[in-house]
Formats: sequence, structure tokens, C-alpha cells
Amino acid sequence: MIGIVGYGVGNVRSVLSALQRVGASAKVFENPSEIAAFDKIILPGVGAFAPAMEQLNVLGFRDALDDAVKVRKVPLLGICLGMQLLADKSMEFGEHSGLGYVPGVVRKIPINGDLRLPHMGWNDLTVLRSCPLTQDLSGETSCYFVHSFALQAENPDHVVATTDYGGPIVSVVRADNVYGTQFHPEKSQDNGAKILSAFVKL
Amino acid sequence: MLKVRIIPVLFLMNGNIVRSEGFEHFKIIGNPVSELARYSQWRADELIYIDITRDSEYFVQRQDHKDRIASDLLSIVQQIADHASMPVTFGGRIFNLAHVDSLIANGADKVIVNTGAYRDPSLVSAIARKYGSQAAVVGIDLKRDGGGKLVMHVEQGREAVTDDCVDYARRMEQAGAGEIFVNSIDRDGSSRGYDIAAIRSIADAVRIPVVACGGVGRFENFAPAVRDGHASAVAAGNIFHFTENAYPNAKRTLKRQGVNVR
Repeated sequence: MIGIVGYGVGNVRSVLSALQRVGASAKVFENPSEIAAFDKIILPGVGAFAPAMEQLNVLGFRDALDDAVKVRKVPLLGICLGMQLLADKSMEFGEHSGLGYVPGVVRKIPINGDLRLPHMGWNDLTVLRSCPLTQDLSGETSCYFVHSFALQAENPDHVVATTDYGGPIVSVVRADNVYGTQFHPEKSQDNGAKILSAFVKL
Repeated sequence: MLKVRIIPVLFLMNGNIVRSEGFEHFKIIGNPVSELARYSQWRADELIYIDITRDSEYFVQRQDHKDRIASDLLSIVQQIADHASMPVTFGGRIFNLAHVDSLIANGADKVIVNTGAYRDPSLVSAIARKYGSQAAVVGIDLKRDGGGKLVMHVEQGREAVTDDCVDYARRMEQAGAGEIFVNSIDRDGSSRGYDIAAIRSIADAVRIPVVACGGVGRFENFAPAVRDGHASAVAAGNIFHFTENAYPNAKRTLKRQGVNVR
């Protein structure tokens, strides 16, 4: 059973629907103590970094996640803001600490010329290293992105895929049992379904 | 590189999908949930649903009647959102944050505000603060007067305002809008093509994405909005409702004209 962290941030319905579409059993949980029941966790997220981290802390998810991820080594997938929360810190509206599961800093996407923010729409993934989540992707690899900040991973080995928007931005990360997608796989049709399916099958 | 989005716009009236022409005439053409299956098969990039029910139900004083209408729409939103594997935007008569809360709780990814944003720009900021700028799309309806000057309208085209649309777009960006939806209401349903100059003047004034709408009659009408209008996405209603294989044809035509689409 996959547990989707219900911390009041992000559209958990879409993630739940998408998981159901690929035949996975999933449940949104709002009580951190329920985390022990799940063999995989998804951390969704939409909006700003600081309020999301505050919610995780205030609701008591921090310790529960640390235990699940670092001790039980349960696979965790961070989606969009959820991926950014995996970082050491973010520079959005000040400097704020993250979960620290994927070393790195979240910064505003550097744009120039004609590029606009948020980076919104379908963009391709360039897969740099093999990873179970992306192994079924081939040919057309676009996924739906919507964000203005991106994770700059400290360890290049954690970068599974990048996406070009004024230069490469990190689009998929993996650090051991922790995975992250900057795009929304639940809103990325067949490519998104492949990625979610692969996560389910881990 | 980021692809240009091709976005079908569906108009909801009393729970049905309708075709509009110049905002004055409407014809029922389908049911929202079954239409979604069509667009999903076409792998549509994104969908926009606008509720244009503007008749007496919304002005009836009986609260229970209003609530039934509201819950009917929300249940449609929920059904659509549960089956949509691409982003969906909902709009139409959004004047307060509570309405936005309901739409997003029922699965909308973004909301589009038009008259509501005009009457109260703080609504845009409130949406952006709570859900992120990307959830706040501001719609701008435009008509050209007899002399060819751009006139912004609200209330579904019924009220002309004196604000300069470019200045307004900038103010909305500052208020926290993540995207601007530019709609030429005099070209709506006319097949004359987009109002490229209008789109460009707004796109060049802001750093957020701009979606073009209003006037598409032929697949060739899409590309100019991107090439000359500097739009990040092209939207249309009618062409997707009436032409066989419209979506794949639109994509093919855009590709042939050198536009980077999915």
C-alpha cells in the first residue's frame, strides 16, 4: 500500500486518481503515526517551500518521514514541490531548511531573453543515468512541468534526468531509496503513468 | 525545449458542453465527462473548462437553489479531475476565494478569473498565496471598437471598461497571476484568426506565459499567435468541437509551420 502524505499542500486527489489508474493501492494519510502501514510513500506538493515545510513540521511528519526513509528505507517519491522539499534548503522567499534527503539547494530557475516563469507545460526529459523510474521511457519523453524554482543537486550521481529550459534543470533525482520528479507524473499522461507504474513496482 | 501548448476550451452551460458564437448564441454539443475521453485519446496538452451559465439561476435569492447549482458544477469538476491525466483549468463566475477553494479541492489544477479579478485584484493575490501563482490565471476579454482600438470588457462581454489592457496585464502579473489568457471576444466563433497585435502587446509586456484565444477557424490560424504574437500556448473552442481529428490536425499543422509542439 502506498501512502500519500496528506499535509494540506498539493492536490492529493490527482495523485490518488493517477495511482488508481495504474492499478496501485494507495491512501492519503493525515496522521503521521499511520506511516508504518505503508511500504512506499509519495510526498506531493504545490506552492511555496516554506509554508509546506512548516506544515510537515507542525503536523509531525518530519520524524515519521525520517524514520520511514532513513531507518526502514521505504521508497519515497517527491513530486514537484515535494521533490524540492527533499533538498537541504531552498532560497525561495528567504532561506529555508528542507528534509535533506537529496543534498542540494533549491534556487530560482535562471532565465534570460524570451523565457518566462513559471516553467509551465510539456518539456522533454534527457535521461542521464539508468533508474527504475525512467527505464520504460523511450522516444517522446515529455512531461508536464509547472515551477519557478529547481533543485541543484550537490552530487551529480543523484541526477537521473535533466530538462532544457534556458540550460539543463534537474527533472528527476534519486538518492538511494529517495526519488523525486520536478514535473507532475499524475498530469503527464502516458509518460507519467509509466513513471508512477515503475515506482509502484519497486 | 518547452513545447507550445495546444489547449481546447470547453464551455459549460447548465452542465452541458456548448458552442458559443460572439458570446450571444449557444448550442449544446455534448456532455463534459464523455468529451474528456475524446481529448484524452488525442493526448491533449491541457484543458480549460469555462462555466458560462449566466442566466437567472445564479441570481435567484433562494440559497438552496444556488447550492444545488454549485454542487452540480463541483461534482462535474470532480468527475473531470478524477479522469483527467493532464492539467485542467476551471473558470467562470469566480468572485471569491471560497469558490476557488471548492474548485481546487475537487481537482482543478488552475482557475481562471476574469471579472472577479477586475473587480478585486486582491483575489488574484489570495489565490497565488494559497495555491501558488501557477494556479491563478487571469482572463482578459478584448474587443476592438469602430476605430480599431482595443477595449477591455468584463461581465462576459457585456461591460466595456476603460483600463488599458496592457497596463492591466502588468498589474495582474504583479498581483501574482501565473498566466494571462487573452481572449478576443469579437473574433470568437468568427474564424478570422487570432488578434495577433493584441496578443503580442500583452505578451511583450509581461514575463509570465500568455495563452491566446478567440478567432481560430483554420489550423493555420494557430502558428501566428506563437511566431508573431509571442504566445506560449494556443487555445480554441469551436474548431475542436466540429472538425474530425481536429487536435491531431492542429498539431500537424503547427509542426509543419515550424512550431515546437509535443
